[in-house]
Amino acid sequence: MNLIDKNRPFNFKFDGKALQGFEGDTLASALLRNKIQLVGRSFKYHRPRGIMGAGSEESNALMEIHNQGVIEPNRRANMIKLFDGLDVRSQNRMPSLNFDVMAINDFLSPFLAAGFYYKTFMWPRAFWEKLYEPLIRNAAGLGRLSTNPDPDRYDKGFLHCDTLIIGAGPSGLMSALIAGRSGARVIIADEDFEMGGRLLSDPQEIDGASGYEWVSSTLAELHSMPNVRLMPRTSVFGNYDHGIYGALEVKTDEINAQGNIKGARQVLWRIYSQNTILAAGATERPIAFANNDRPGIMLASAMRTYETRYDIDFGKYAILSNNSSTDKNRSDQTIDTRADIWIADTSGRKGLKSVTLNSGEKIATNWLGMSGGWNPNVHLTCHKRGRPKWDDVNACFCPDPNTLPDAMQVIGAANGEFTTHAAFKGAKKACANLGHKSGKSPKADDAPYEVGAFWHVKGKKRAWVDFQNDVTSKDIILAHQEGFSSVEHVKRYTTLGMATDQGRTSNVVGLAVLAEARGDSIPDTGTTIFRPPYTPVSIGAFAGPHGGQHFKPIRKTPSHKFAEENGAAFVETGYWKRASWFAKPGEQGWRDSVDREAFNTRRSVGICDVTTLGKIDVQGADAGKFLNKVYANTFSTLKVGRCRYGLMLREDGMAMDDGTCARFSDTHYVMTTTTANAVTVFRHLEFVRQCLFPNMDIHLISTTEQWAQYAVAGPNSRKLLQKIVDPEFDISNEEFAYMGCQKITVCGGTRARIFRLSFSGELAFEIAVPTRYGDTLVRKLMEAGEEFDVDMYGTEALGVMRIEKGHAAGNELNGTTTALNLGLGGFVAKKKDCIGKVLSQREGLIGDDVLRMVGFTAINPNDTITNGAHFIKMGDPKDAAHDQGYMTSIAYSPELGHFIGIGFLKGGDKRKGEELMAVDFVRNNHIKVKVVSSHFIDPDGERLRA
Amino acid sequence: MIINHPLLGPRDAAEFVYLGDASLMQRPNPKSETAAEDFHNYQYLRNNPAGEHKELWYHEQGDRSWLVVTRNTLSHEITHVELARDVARSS
Amino acid sequence: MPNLKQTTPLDGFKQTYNGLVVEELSGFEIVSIALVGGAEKAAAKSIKTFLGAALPKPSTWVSGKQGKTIWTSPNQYFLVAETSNDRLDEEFAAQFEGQAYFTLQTDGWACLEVSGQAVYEVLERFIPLDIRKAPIGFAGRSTAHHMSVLILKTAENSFILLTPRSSSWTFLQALEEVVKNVN
Repeated sequence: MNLIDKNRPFNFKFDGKALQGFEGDTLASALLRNKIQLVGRSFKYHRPRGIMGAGSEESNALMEIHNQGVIEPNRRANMIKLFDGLDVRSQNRMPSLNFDVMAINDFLSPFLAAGFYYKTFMWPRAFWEKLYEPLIRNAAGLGRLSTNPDPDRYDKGFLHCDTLIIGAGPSGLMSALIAGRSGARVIIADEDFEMGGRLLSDPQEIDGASGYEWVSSTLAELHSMPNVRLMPRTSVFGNYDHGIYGALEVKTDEINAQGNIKGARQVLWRIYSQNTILAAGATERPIAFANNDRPGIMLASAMRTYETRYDIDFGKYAILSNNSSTDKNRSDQTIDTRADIWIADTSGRKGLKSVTLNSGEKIATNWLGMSGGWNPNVHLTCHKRGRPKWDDVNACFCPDPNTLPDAMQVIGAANGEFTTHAAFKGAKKACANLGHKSGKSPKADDAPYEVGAFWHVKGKKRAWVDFQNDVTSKDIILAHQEGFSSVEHVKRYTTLGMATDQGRTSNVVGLAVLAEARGDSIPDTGTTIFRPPYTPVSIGAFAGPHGGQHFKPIRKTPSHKFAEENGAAFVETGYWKRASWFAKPGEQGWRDSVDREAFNTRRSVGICDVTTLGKIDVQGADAGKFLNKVYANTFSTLKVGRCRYGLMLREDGMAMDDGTCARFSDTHYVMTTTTANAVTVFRHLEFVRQCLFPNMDIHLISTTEQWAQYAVAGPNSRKLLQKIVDPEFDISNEEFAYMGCQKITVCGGTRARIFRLSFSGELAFEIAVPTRYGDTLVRKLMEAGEEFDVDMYGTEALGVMRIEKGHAAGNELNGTTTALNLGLGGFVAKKKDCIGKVLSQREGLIGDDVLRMVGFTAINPNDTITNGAHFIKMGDPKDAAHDQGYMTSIAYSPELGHFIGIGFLKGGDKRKGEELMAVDFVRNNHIKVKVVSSHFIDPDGERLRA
Repeated sequence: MIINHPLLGPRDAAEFVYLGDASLMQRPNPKSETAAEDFHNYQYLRNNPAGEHKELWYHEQGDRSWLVVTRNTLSHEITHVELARDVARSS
Repeated sequence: MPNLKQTTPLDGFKQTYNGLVVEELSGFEIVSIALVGGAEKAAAKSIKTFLGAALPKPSTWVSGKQGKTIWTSPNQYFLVAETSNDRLDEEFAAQFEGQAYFTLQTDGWACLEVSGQAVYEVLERFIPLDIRKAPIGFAGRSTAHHMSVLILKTAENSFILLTPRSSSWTFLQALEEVVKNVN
């Protein structure tokens, strides 16, 4: 019995050669079927290599999948499911697999032993960057990247289950059957595209019928259960906290170069499980002997898999074994180390020709299956810092029952129980522990596993331990001789176990060699730490769908569409896209637009979308009391129908955020925050509400998105708004003074709110409507403003105007400045406590010499003021010791016709008129500046109160 | 990690924002004579236990509750989760 | 009658895919309800009479005379009222003065109904909650691709998703990407 469908042939190419395989083949089995032995060149020595295994433990057969210029490198041939049109190339050889110039390394091997790069490439120093680095970079690595964009789709998802079963061999399948029958929600995952594990590879009988039949009928029953989810081609690669597992599901190996393949190529799953059964099986290990890496030398179990499942005929071949598992190979001769026979050397550089025994006898053979024993796949028991336990009888590491992750049980070969009978028994017991009863297990193979530890043959010739990183037993012994004797040092010094196979076949053998060199036992030598992922996971899978425009969400303002129609350039503030300016036809650069917008607003009227500023609805009997706690100034005294500027401090006394707060009733305030801090302020307020003052009657909810809000600013702003605001609402200066707020209607009855606030320093209002009217309102405002030459203005002009006015903003509230630094010391109410009050009084933060926010102009009006410049007294050295402060905001003022700046200066409030150097080493721009008031325009606020 | 929200059941930690030590709930009395030092200690001094730690998590992508979570900093085992509001009210 | 034209967040989006229908829902108002501290029991009682159903427990929504009520936070709820009245919050505030505080929330949210045979296959790639196990009547807030979602299970194969308005187009595009990936 096998799993190959000869009625469904596939055509594929290997290194350009056209070949054929069948449905059910992997690339590896198809190559073997075509009698191809040479499939790759080793990493360091470029030695000819062949297929070594049949599963994800493969060390040698790494391939590039090609499709229309897209390359996926480092794919194991045994993990590629053959499909029609597959185009693969071997790796790490130049110019060809058959003739690789880099094989010169093999002959230079005495100079390339472990750690050679720590001892070479040192002299001369001048060669480091120009010669050695490019050389090493070129030689390093295995596969290549195409640098073309990845055309495939990747996805991520979340699964929930009662029991996660990792591995679908006999123990896993039996567990799924029992748990599934009892109604539990089960996920059973296996990295193979066919479930069955070693039942597909080792011919045996279960209850008198073939193992294949048992697998078949079991899968049929599992598929019929709605509470069981079968996940083939899914590798559970990591065990994380609290029953969370990471799994990678491969949907197809076909690269979507033509864009015609539907669906994601790989899906990364986050699995939430209540309990887990680890039935991950075991991996066979090789034996290290001279020239044990020839093409044609494979793991014995892999040969059985190819014989049975893939219907490959190897002809006559030999086995080297130290255990009983190889009894089932269809080989002609077994070299049993337990009988003191082993292999001393091999021949056949590009394909095995013969092996020479320790007796001297030479055996002609093209294939050799080697088995040095079995290693339970304990990895997932160790991802949370557990370490496995050495089992002397079975000569392997087994899971330590005392350090297993929460709610995990290990059964079958993964637990060091190597017979099918034991697998079924383990499944029954594990399920019983979960409360699932079961009947009698079917009769299955029970021949005990017997092994005699045999790790390596000592000698002068190189004997491979880690095939992928080309680490030999000599390297490990050398590392120990040079003092790198701890298992952690040996790993890094030799790179044993550091390749893409993460030492699946090499770690334990290497450990044994090291232990022997040290004169210690294997358990005393210890293991390194297993970390996720168990098998490689592409970065694309970790990114999932979050690439390109899906990398992060976009938040759009209510006027976004209108802005797009009107030449807006957008800036990202967090996730928001805000219009920074609106380019009109003929305008050459951003300054043209920004200068015009600021000038026009001050001359007539401008409109700006300010929806993005956080709006927090604050209600409750204790609303005023609460706001007094979070703001430095007082809000309980704010009258209904009025607004007030508020400064919020962090508990360490630094300014955190500012905004305005409007009061609509005794128990109702609406607070605004800056755009960037909306989320953090809300979080902070909830902390104060729930954790510090839990007994206050106070409720918070965000209304940032609920209200579309526009600033209408300029001398004609009221006239414009009077065309929009319904006539029963009086917004004249007499009836609606500066800093007032009202609930109104606009455009014939639409609900709205109006606030008389000004960030620009002009006569200004903010008008808010439920966002459903936001797009229409901005168009109406622009229409109404046509007679006043209204312009939209963006965040840049907004910035220019607030700098002209001397308002502090994000640049000044930079997390290191206090109310006093900002010139707002008077805002901190003396008579009440607030968050930040106590620590704002620390001696280092007060006093005459602290930084104070002031304005700056250039003495030479043609000079450009640059932001971030530091202030140095005239004549002082330009260094940190003489630093007097720094510039925080600069703009070209259209109204004044020159650059202006705001910044912090030590004791600045008393230094107006002083001339200083503004020193900027980044742009090499040092200019003379004068200290002035930061209120460049309308310092008395007459425009505001018009 | 999974946080077992007392009202909502188990939720992925990705829905939460971590603040820090739960001692942040014990804001000192600003009127005390030792207020300056009390607030300094409150703001800056922390124990750093290798073991059980009471800490504050905010369910930002959920119900906006603040929670006091008792978590072992070595094993990440979470043994206790309560609404911060309840803890604040009882202290 | 208001003179200003309204827009819904997703322009009335409706699309049928293989085994899935995604449709924007509108024509309702969402009002937040926060019970006055210290008066929660009395408030819950009078609101129950008004709604014709007890206020829902955590992680649930209930149907009542006015529409659906959703538990959102301790002592906080959303009422999704089957009406078109953008002053509903002010009316409630007057009606339940001293018992609860209200805000209008309709415009802060986009609302999608997703239903069909493929709904679980799609949503398991989108939202981390265990929505298969959740009963009809489940309500939960969580994440969906770095965005916020409030999900209601309304029938065996049918869900309502609420997401903040400003990022709702990204949300919809993300959902469409998921549908493409599943296929």
